[in-house]
Amino acid sequence: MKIPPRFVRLPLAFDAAALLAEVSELPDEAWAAHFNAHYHNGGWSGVALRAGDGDSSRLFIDPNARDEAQDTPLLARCPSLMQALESFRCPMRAVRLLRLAPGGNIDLHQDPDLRFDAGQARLHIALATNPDVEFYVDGERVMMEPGECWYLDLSRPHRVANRGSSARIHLVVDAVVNDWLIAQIAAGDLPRREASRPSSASEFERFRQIVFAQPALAERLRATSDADAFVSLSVELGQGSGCEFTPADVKAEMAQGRHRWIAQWIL
Amino acid sequence: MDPVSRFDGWIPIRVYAAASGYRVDWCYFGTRRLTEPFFRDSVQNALQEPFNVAFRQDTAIDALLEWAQVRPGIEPTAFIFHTSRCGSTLLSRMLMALESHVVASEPPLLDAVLRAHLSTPALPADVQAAWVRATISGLAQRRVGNESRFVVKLDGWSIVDLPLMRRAYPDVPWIFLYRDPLEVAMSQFKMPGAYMVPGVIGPSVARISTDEPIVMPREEFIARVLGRIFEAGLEGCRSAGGRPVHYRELPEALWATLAGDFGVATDAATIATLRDAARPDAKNPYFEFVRDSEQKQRASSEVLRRAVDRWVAPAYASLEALRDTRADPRTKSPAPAPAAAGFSPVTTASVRS
Repeated sequence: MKIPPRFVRLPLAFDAAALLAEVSELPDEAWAAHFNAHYHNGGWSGVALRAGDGDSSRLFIDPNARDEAQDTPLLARCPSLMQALESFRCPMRAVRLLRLAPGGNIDLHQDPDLRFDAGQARLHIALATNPDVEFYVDGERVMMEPGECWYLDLSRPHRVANRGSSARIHLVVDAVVNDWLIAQIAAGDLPRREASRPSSASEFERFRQIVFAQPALAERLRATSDADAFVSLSVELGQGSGCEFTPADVKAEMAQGRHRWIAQWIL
Repeated sequence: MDPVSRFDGWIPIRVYAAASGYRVDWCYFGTRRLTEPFFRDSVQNALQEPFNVAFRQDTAIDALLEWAQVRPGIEPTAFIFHTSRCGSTLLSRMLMALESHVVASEPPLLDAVLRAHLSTPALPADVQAAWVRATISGLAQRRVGNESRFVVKLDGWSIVDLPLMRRAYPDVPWIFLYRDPLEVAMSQFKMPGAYMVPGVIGPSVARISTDEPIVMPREEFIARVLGRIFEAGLEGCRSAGGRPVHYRELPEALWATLAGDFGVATDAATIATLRDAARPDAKNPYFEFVRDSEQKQRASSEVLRRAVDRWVAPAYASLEALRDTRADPRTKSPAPAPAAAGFSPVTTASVRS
């Protein structure tokens, strides 16, 4: 398998409730804010269960480290999580719990070191989620249910928004690709799921079509050259047209719009 | 909805192949003029506007074909084919200086359409020619109101696609602009264009198979690509109505021999405007446009000289002979100057002609 799918559900199932019970016992101070502060809005935090130096606040994963990660002291308090990790018959460079609070947003970005062909794969085990968590990989929405384990190609552009009222908590495993993992991915599937309400990305697309059909609306949007003001104006005019989307949707489309032009020069 | 309100003020900026077929990426240009040296720079500037990155239209190519029917652009005045590094940007900058003229300089979407048959062999030539017309029509929309002439400067390798351009536009005048191939080769050797690096723009314009360039000296690859370009230019000038133009005829040729083809007025004020536009180096405003032939010749290596002699010199000589039979006596090609002694380094200014 040279190029795996962009995302796929692996044939592994976990007892999300039991794992979550252990997670809820972790002290509040164990949750450290995610280091990539420039592209999240403050609602993203995590706990390291296995890290290069065994430090539970170490969310950063050194892309050059090749050794298996050390258990952090917090993992010892979580026997169910320890047992769950035994399901992974591949080396693990890091294991983290990542929590996205209600209203939390992670802007569009890429993790270029997570390339499958470079032997890196990130797996997400959903523990707590809600129907209004919107996880997009390459513009496609991925809906993960509690207890499921997913492979996601996060070297591609991706973003997450928690538009619901409860926290999203995923167990995130950074695996080293081996034959076992390749077999798991090959045996994976892609369940078809209906969203409970239109995603904000689809709402923004609906607004875009309204704008293309209404030159006067387009004219109002063109009047501003300042990127931040433009994002706010788009959200406001979108609401006026009955389209509910967020600044993140506008910003993601702007990044993609730039990329589509530049990509033709990239080999 | 009706195409007029949907695409009024919009311009196609990119044509690309998707799983569902060829598609068009549209950007709002409004009354924006194409004043930058290259079309891609004009787009780059337009994309500074947040609206133009967040609100681009993406349609099947059929929408572009329909738009060309509903709102045809200015019918092209003339086409500039060229060998690269031969003053083609100077020529297009001069034309851009005239309010009456709009120049689309090396629009990458036209190249994508001209080369579409390479990735889609089943594409019928008539369909492809219709795409070419629709693409140029979309670029040639009147945006300010006083434009009356539209000129396309194609890419340095586009001359090999001349038959398709002639199928789309059998009657539009075109020129083939070139200079001494050793000077072009020298410049390409120092600062190669995309098509001078094997594989970058897809199949080689010189029909060199993909494995060959790996073992081939760069000098030979460049000379063979240039040879194919010069041969295509020669063939086109002989049998498809092209006018051969040598670098050394610039800038004066534009208001002399080329004025008719390019729809350029020859009054004193227009000539003054053109002369003025010819002054700064066309791609680099920091340097005056200077003739740098001798410098380039001196700096060329023996290997490159031999490769050019073998692969390009015959077509170049034939082009010069053809030009002599048609040219104004004042611009006939002189006997080659003896090589000057000494070596002087090639400057940035001189490679960027």
